[in-house]
Amino acid sequence: MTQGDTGRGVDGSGGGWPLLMASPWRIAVRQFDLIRALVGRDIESRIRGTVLGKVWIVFGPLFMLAVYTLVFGLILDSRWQDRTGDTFLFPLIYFSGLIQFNFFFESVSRATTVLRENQSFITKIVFPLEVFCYSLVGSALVRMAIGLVILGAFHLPLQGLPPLAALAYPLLLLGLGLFALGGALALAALGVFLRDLAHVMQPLSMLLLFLSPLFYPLDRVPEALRPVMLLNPLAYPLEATRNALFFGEWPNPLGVAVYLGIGWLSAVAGYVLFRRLRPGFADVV
Amino acid sequence: MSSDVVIRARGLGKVYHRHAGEGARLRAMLSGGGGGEAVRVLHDVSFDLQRGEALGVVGRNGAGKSTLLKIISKTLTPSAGTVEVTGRVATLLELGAGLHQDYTGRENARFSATIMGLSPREFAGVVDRIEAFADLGGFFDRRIAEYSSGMYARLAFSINIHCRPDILIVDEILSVGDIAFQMKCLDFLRSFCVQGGSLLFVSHDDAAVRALCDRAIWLDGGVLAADGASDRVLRRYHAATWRRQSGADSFAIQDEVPGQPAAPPPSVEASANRDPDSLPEALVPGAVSAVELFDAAGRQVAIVHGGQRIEVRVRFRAEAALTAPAVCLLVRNRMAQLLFGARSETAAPLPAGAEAEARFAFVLPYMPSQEYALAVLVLEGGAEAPRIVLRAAPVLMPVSTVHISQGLANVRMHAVRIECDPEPMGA
Amino acid sequence: MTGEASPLVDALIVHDLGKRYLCDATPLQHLANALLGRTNGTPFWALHPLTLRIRAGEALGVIGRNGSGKSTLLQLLMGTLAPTTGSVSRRGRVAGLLELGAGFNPDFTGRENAVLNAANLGLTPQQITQRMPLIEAFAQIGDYIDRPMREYSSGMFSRLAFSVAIHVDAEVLIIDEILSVGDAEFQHRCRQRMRQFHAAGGTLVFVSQNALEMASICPRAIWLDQGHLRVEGPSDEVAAAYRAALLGPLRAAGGVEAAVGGAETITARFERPMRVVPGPFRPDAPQHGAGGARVVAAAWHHPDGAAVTEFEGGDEIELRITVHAETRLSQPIIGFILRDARGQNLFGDNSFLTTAENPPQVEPGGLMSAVFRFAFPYLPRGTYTLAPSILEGTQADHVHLHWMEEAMAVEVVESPVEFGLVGVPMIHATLARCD
Repeated sequence: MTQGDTGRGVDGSGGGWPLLMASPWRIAVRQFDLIRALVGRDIESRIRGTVLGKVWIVFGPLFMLAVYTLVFGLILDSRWQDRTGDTFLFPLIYFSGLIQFNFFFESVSRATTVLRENQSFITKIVFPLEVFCYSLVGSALVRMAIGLVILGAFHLPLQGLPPLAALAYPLLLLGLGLFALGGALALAALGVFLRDLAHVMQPLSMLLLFLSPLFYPLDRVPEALRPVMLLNPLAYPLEATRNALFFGEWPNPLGVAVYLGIGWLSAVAGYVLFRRLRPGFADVV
Repeated sequence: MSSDVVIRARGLGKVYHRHAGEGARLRAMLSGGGGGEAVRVLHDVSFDLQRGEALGVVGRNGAGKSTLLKIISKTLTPSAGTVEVTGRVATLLELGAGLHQDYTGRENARFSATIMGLSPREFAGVVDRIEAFADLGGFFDRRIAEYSSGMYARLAFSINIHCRPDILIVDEILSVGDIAFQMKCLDFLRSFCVQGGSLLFVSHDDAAVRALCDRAIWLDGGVLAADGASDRVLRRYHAATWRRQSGADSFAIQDEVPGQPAAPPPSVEASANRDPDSLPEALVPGAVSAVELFDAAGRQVAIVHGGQRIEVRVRFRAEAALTAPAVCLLVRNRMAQLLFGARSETAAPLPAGAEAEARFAFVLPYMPSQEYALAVLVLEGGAEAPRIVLRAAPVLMPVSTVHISQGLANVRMHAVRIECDPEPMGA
Repeated sequence: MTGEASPLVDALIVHDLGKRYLCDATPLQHLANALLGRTNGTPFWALHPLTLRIRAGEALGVIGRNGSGKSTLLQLLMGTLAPTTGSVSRRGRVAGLLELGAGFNPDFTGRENAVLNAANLGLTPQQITQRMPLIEAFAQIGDYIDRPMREYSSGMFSRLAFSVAIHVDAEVLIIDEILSVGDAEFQHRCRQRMRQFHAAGGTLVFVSQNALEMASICPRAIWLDQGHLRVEGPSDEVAAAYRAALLGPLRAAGGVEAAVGGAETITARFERPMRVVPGPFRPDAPQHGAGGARVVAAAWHHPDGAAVTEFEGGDEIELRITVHAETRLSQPIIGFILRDARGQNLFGDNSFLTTAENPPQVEPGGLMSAVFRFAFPYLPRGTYTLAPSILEGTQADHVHLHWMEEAMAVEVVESPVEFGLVGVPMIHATLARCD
């Protein structure tokens, strides 16, 4: 372990573009144990001291699924556009979209306060602060994975085995994760200075939820507005995973590649901003 | 309840239940408490605290001291027994408790005062004194987050004592901070008790307990193992510690002289009364302008050593004529105990405005390495009717003693020899 | 102070290091400062540019009052703070014991918190597993290590946190006043640990407000005052300068310390005598011990051997304490303490240093005496008690074989000492007009 041997605190990259571009990966590898420990701690601390313990980890998603099924499946008896499917397809589609949304949004919104909550790590010990952002994304990922398991548990009996196109899912998830990481890094750094950001998150979540193609497909959106929608990092994976998982359509490989590429860039950009602002953290907390 | 007992604890007990998991705990609670593994933190603790008394509480870590104090300060409910507390209680336990990081010292003082029952007007009346005692300078109006632990302790202490408590519960928080502050605190605690306040003092520092408290209780494994004169209680406590450390089965302890009741030692108050600091005052305008230390060769020094011959020179000027002036030099330790002192000769009368110098030359005892305080009093009236006319602020005197020194004012051995009997005694 | 500083290798090179804070700026201004390099706000130099070299294996003391820039310097040395000017080059890891328990969560057990904290401080999972037993042993909190930290007292909390912190790998250790946590025994172990670290070649930076403690640990020191490096040099000199400044307007002219002399031969006596009457030795006084030897007699003599029934303050006197061995003694220490009526420890001594090189061996049934010769101090009137003892072992690590309290009453029947715990006779105490 060679933490803390540079004059500016800890950072993964010394110099040079190639190293910088590789930094999201390098940090993940170098700090893997620490990230894993923090993720474990984060999840554990939610349920520590509760009676039901681990039940709570699955309770949230299960409850969500049950409510949607009740409301959209049975009460509203909705259908996904003109495509027919049975009653239970709809709630599953929503559910699948929501777990992705929650994954992204949770990472990003918790990031706005994570550094303030851990002040002592800024001033008192030498610590790779970016690890906090990784651990937030990691925690959110664990929660999402549980959601996926539940999704699978219900999908299997109802729809049979998922189509082959579902194999594209992990790649899309990776892309989303990279965007989440970039967002977390940027917002964590900015959040140290601008405490307002924490307040912005709540209304922003509502906005983002309804502006994502979660409750409706992208083609419902008027042509003119579609490019704007695509600025939302959730837009592409929501569409693509839905089409892949439920309708068996493979996503365009070029599209996936572009998405991943932009995701990677955003992670790098977030990291650059973080590194830029880091020296000023101690002055503000 | 007699008006002189401010804390009456009877049969206090506290039991924590350890359960296998939270589910077990819930079931236990629903079925009326108990269950699981019972950990007895306190058992059958009874004692009284009188008005104006300072009671020391000693015992190892984990023996239940903090639990007892929390019960007394009503932050914890006992599982058994009762405690009656009369008066306002201020607790100064453990750094880090109670003050909010994001608020300034002044704001925290206001919160704490409100919690302790002071009205805004009362607070406005004391806030300046709080500020002065804490001596934080501009930091009083900066956030607590920026304070060092010493500053935090000073602020916490200052706030609590100015909220006019009847009972003070204090622990090691006093050991944080420099000697000037420690002396201020201990000075305050002493006069607090004299004026009728009651004190519960938790400490690992024998000297402090002996110096401050006439009585002490020893908590061992949650049980009251001793209650009596602080010296005796401390001895028992230490004897038990040594027994535990020695591990020997044959370790015997004999506590009292058989057939003889223990005589109570003289009280703290009694020894304080001989202190020249408590002579009647008749202050005049003027000032002590210098208190300086010199070595045997006449050079001014800043640190002195045990065993060294030193000279203390005091210069003062009184704006009133003094007919029988003398100067009194006092040396105190960090617990504000008077270690030793001296009076100069009574000099010829001094006209108003005249400057005079007193010189005290002596060999410094082998005092433990620490900072001490030199206090100076200018007296008038000779030996028959001395009055204090001028006081100087205490001057720090750091002492560094190379010779390993214990005891308040150690004596250096000139020789130590061993003699062994060449012939073992017959069986 | 052990451990030699290697002259060839610098552990830390500080060059023109300075830190300026910009105060009273709005959050947006701070952001602009960080992002765009602006300088909004009121500048405050917490540390003015300074240059310093710290050799590998050295122990450097840093002394200064609150607000002198000590913490800022430490954070810069550690790397948690970015400098405004200058640079720090480090050779090896720098670990600071500045804040203990960063990230401790009270709902988790001590062990869980220790593991995570160790990971935070840079240990790998294997290292953590290896060192947990050591951490546990040092903290000495027993079973509590598997209880939630909510149940800990503050002392236990600090002990565990400190224990984790010192088991982290570092070549340079920066220690702050946190050494004041815990009871005397724990502090002793902490200091021991520090010394071991230093003796093994580690570099130590010790920060304190207490000049004496710092001087006893570090041969070289610096004094920081209001962000400036005022003095750098041997710690005695630095301590003297610091002390002198603390004494306010009184400043040491020349500031040179008198060397520590041997026993002073100048004596002074009070005008009136102090009469001491020792009482008889009481074998049934309160006592405790593991057994194996017993104190059987304590007596006072003139130096020429004649017994005394009373003597005076200031007299050269001998105290003989006799011990009867029931088992074989191989490292016996005989000691005594004289206490006042409140039980306060006035003075005492023991035979350890005299016999440390060559401890006397005593066979079962044998007698051993220690004779202490000293000038009996002046004490105020009152009853004092003698507490003689026989221990086995060394000064640091011993067992009480027999310890007696109040084995003898020593009565001071008249005394010129009017106040205080002891009397110090003045060589002179004059008062005269200056002009």
